Amino acid sequence: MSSPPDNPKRRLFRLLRRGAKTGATGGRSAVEESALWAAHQRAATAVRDSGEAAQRIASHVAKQRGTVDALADRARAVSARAQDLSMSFGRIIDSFARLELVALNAGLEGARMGEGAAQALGLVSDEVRAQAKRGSEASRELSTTLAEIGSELLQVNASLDRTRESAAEVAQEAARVGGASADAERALSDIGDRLQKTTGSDPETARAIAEATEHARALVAALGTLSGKVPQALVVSALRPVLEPLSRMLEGEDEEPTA
Amino acid sequence: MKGGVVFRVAEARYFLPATTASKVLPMPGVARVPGAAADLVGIALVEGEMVAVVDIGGAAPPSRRAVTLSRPRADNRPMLVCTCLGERVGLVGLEVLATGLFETGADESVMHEGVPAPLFDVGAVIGRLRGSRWAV
Repeated sequence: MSSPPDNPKRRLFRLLRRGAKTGATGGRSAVEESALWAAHQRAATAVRDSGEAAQRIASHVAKQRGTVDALADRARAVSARAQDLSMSFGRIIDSFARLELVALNAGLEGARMGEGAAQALGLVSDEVRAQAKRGSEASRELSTTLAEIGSELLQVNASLDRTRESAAEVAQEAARVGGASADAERALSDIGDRLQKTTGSDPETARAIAEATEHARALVAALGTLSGKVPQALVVSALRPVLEPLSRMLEGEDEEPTA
Repeated sequence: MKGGVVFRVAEARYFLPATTASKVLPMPGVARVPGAAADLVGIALVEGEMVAVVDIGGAAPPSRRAVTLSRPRADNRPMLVCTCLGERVGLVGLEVLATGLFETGADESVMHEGVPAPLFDVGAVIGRLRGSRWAV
């Protein structure tokens, strides 16, 4: 034969009856159970949150690694371009040096051709040499700057490599946290099962008991404020319709209050 | 006025007339000559002709000279090609300052930027080479 469905309300009344039969000690036990279930719930929520946070961290780190990898690729490409440019500047510097020699030869050739030609060619030669020198110096400066940029890019690459290593470590740690959270969640679930078997209660019932306890305390406090101010007969007559079903229920009658 | 080239060797300026100085070329690839005089860098093929390449930067500090001699490869250092006593030689280890016409100074020197530049004795260089174990 199958037993009737054991709904939370029925379980709550059974526990309340049990608490009533065992007296004050039983009452404290029910409160303790309630507190235990609340702590269990909080722990389960915290563990679930930490597991989800670990997953989110792992996801963000993966995205960050992708970005860092792309950045490192770009830095390498820029570094290679800087090296190409540096070589091009080397060729430009060579060309300017050759141009200076051409200008010197023009001056020398002019000197062989007589005074008129020497002066004309000399002017051109001097101007070409001056411009070639300026071009050569500017190219050298640019080449030096490019070399510095290349060096900076190498440092950027080194920093990116370190960032990538850190990201890998963070990902590993996040995976470890995720695994630990999953273990903790399983352990908490196991604790919950054992707690349920040991105490015969469950989280919903425990929460209802806690609320009922709070209400009962509030009722007792309210009655305390009425004490001495209102005739007791008036209080009893006012509370009897409400308290009688509760009293019957706590004494073990099967009927449950309808309200 | 004299036409030619003024160049500097170490801190000294010298002049070579346009009749002796043929042209200024970039340093060509040089073949070493074993046992040759210390200032003979080697021989090079210049415009289809074998030319002795001589380092005249002898007054330069030893370290600079050593660097010059240890790199007989083609580069952009200037080589002044001269013709004297029927020989063509290439002078390296110098810095060409100017070419063209220059004011005449005392003796056979010229003035360049107010500084006298005496005539460079290419004949002495060639004579020194001829006197060494390997004649040019």
